[in-house]
Amino acid sequence: MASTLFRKSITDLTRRRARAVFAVLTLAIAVASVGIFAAPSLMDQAMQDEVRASRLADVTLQTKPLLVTPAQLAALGRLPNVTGVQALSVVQTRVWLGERRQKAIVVGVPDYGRQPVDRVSITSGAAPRSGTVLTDVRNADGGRYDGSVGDTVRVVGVHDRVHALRVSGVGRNLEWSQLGVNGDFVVLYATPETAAQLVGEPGYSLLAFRLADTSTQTAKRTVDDVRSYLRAETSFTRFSDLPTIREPGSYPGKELFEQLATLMNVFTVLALLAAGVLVANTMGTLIGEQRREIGMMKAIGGTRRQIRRVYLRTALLLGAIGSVLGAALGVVIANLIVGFFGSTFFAIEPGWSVSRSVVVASLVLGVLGPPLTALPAIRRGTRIPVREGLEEVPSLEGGVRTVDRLLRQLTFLPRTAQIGVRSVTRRTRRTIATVVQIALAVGTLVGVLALMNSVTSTTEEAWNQLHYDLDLNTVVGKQLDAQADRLIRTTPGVEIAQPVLTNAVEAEGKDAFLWGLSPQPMFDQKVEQGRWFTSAEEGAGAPVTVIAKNIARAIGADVGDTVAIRTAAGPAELRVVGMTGTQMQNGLLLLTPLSTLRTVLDSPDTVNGYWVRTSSGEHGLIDRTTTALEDRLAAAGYSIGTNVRYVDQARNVDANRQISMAIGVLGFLIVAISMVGLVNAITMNVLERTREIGVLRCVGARGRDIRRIFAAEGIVLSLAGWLLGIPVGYAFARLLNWLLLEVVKIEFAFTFPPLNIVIALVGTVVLALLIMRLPLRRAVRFKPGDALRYA
Amino acid sequence: MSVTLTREAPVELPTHEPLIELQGVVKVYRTGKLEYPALRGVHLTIDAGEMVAVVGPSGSGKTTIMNMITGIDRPTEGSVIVDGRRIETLSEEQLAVWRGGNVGIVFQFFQLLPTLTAVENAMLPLDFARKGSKRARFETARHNLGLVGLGDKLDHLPAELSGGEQQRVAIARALAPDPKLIIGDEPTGNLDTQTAADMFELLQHLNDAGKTVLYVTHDLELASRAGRVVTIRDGVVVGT
Repeated sequence: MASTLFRKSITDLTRRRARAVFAVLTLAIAVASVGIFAAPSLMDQAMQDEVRASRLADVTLQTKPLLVTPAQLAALGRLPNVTGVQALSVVQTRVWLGERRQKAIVVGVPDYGRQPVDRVSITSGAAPRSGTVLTDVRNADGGRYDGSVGDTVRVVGVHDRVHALRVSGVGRNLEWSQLGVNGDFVVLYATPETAAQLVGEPGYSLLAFRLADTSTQTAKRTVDDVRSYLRAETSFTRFSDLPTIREPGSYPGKELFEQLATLMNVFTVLALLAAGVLVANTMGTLIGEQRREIGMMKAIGGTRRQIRRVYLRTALLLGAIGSVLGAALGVVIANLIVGFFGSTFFAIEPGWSVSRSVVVASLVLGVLGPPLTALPAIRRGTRIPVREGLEEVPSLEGGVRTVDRLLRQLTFLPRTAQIGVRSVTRRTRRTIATVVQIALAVGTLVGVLALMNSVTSTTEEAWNQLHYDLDLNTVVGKQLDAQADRLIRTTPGVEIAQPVLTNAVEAEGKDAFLWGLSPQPMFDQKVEQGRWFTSAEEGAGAPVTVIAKNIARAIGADVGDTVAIRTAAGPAELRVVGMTGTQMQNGLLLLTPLSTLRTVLDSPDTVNGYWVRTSSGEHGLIDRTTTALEDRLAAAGYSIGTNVRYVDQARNVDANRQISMAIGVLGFLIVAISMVGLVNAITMNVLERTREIGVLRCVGARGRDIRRIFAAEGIVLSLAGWLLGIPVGYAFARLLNWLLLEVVKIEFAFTFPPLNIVIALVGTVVLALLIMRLPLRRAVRFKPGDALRYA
Repeated sequence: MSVTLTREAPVELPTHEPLIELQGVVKVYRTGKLEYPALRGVHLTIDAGEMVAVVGPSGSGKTTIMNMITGIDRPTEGSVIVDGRRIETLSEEQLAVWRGGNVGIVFQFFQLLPTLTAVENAMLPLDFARKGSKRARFETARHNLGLVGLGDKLDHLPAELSGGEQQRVAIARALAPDPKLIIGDEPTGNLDTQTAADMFELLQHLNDAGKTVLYVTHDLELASRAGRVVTIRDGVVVGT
């Protein structure tokens, strides 16, 4: 008996091949969802490989153009803890692209053959020499610049002189490529001599270091050593911005990716939940069909234990095959996700790799999942009395409960629809499981749509806080003084110009931004607690600040507290007089009077930015005014960058849409898994009611009648899932909003537009009809004779 | 092998073509590598108005003959002509429509739809054929259920009916299109003796009303009450 039972476990699969194949594919899809867990670690691995290959800097220091000799550079390289140093000439400028000017950064690299830090790799063409440049591989994204080898790019230099530089090749750098994408810059790589021609003075404006010990404390000591050396040996006075110290293991965009990874894990958990319900449903159906065989085995002496083992073995076998397929599929899915995020957010093309731990977890879950989820059904099946199990009479279940009586009232529907609708209650467990799966899918869709709405509306609102049309800024080179002020205010098209001083700071140890604003700034203050500055405070340069909610939450600051900040010029303290809900700079913002920040930074006569409102909001005028300001300031020797609000706003909205789309892709995976559940349910219903289909054909039902019966059933399941999915979606949208606040530290206004519910309804019904085509086609293909003989 | 018709009681025979004619019908079932010849060349004619019992041991081909006549299965060779139509040439869709309008089938296990009431089951063929208004179909079904003695159980579900009552509903369903031919595959096989006898009387009554009734049975006593008995053994007709 033992070996016969063992064979039965196998032949149960081979006897009903179609059903076994379907069950295996369903299991494989469920197991593949585990693979999503691998995506964050694979992405991190790919980025760490990239960091090593590109020798990403551990510390970056910015200065005004500084002459440093090779001997001095070598000496910097011998400082304690320094393993590599690179000096770069970085110029912020513009390039002419046809009739328009596009923001650009030109990075002057001394020696492309020897780059100890922040390597620019040449992907095609040749290294630039004097008068030639490399174009960054990501310049074509977003329509910035699609020039190739041999083309000429016209770069605007100081005094508005245009330099025609030939493109000698294509290059890539982890830091600059990312900056180009995020900042909407055309990134070009040149020699320091070319950069000097552009800026009008020689010298390096950026020093990049690799360190032996990258801990923050040691890195800060190294920065102090560099500062001391430069003060002693060169004309250096101070860094133009706070030193950038890269945290060990971090890379450009890592924080963003970690935030996305957290969101990804939420979706993975949901996907696993959907997969779990799917597996349980599939195994429950498979075991439920074995009722007669179980009754027969019990009748001829089989014990419950023996019978349980038969079906557990079958479930194990199914799981083994499904898990191998699913693990392989999971590897594919994880790598596709990594490829998508890698190229979209980090401008890298990660190779394919495998997370062994996740593959092992997939295999274990895939093998053990089916038998575990089949246990309740096996238990139920083995407890059925022998007589009941052996009954030949087709099941008469369905039709006598309250819900069935209610469904029978729908007599206005065509008969085929009535049959389909009433069939929904014939297999209660399967129906409930299918409805839950669809509800998960609908809830995910609605939640993701709500999140996308929230992100878009909050972003739009944040931009609408600004009442200027463009801002100028200078980071390297000459700061904006009285002469610049005169030039700006007298430029045609300028209605109002407000000086602004901005600085990257640390507030109680957290990275933040400090803006020094003119009185009555062109900016909706959105003070939610406390107050704005008084005129007296602005006039006196009082050490006060209005702090954004996000950074306040991060450092535990409240109105009345004193916040310790560290700037490029040293430490300072500011008293919090108000709290604002602004999301500018992701809410990591401290605002202070301009006079205050001038004092803190010891910059009494200069600023590094202006906010400008033009005489009309017309885009053409804004563009012309921007061009005029750039020309006049460049001609006077100021190296500035400009940000045009309407362009940046559109780009920001588009970038947020990309993130929303990424979340949407993950959400779609859950929808796909859940919809497999619907296909599963309809297919099982068709297989189970094969004889009934034969009878229907015998009493005159045509193919379309059979299709309509099962289609009606599918649509009722979808509608029930949609109804349940609305509160699920609401809860999910709330969860995502909360997650964004906790993880990304951005507060998005919660929205739940009713239109999304309608979109979900249409989407659910259309998707259901599409995916049911295969099982419906199968239902129609049964020949009556075969159907009636089906056992 | 041709079979000469004999009649036990003199009846008025129409002088036209037989209602059912099987000519050299062969049916071979193929499952995997196995071939099973269920019918090995059957010649059979049945006139309109006859009541014929088909008997034979298990596996002899009785149900297969019924399936040939109703178009549920197709012959491997030979032809099947019912009411002047060669039904083996019809497509599945055409066969479904033809069955719904011309044949009433009564199954051994009733095969009612469990979620439809008695009257809904009884009007199902008319719903599929889209014959008449909803009201007219309802009236036809109600009338047929009255004929079979279930006029007071129109709204009962199959689960609320006894086996005999379910079979009566199945007969009422078979009568819905007012077919010339009623086919029963062991129509009393799942009923107790008394109920089976009642059921047979019903079939007899339908035959008396002019319908051709053809049924498969293991019950020799029931078979003997038919106008003609056709015996099948090993896929061939061995006697009447």
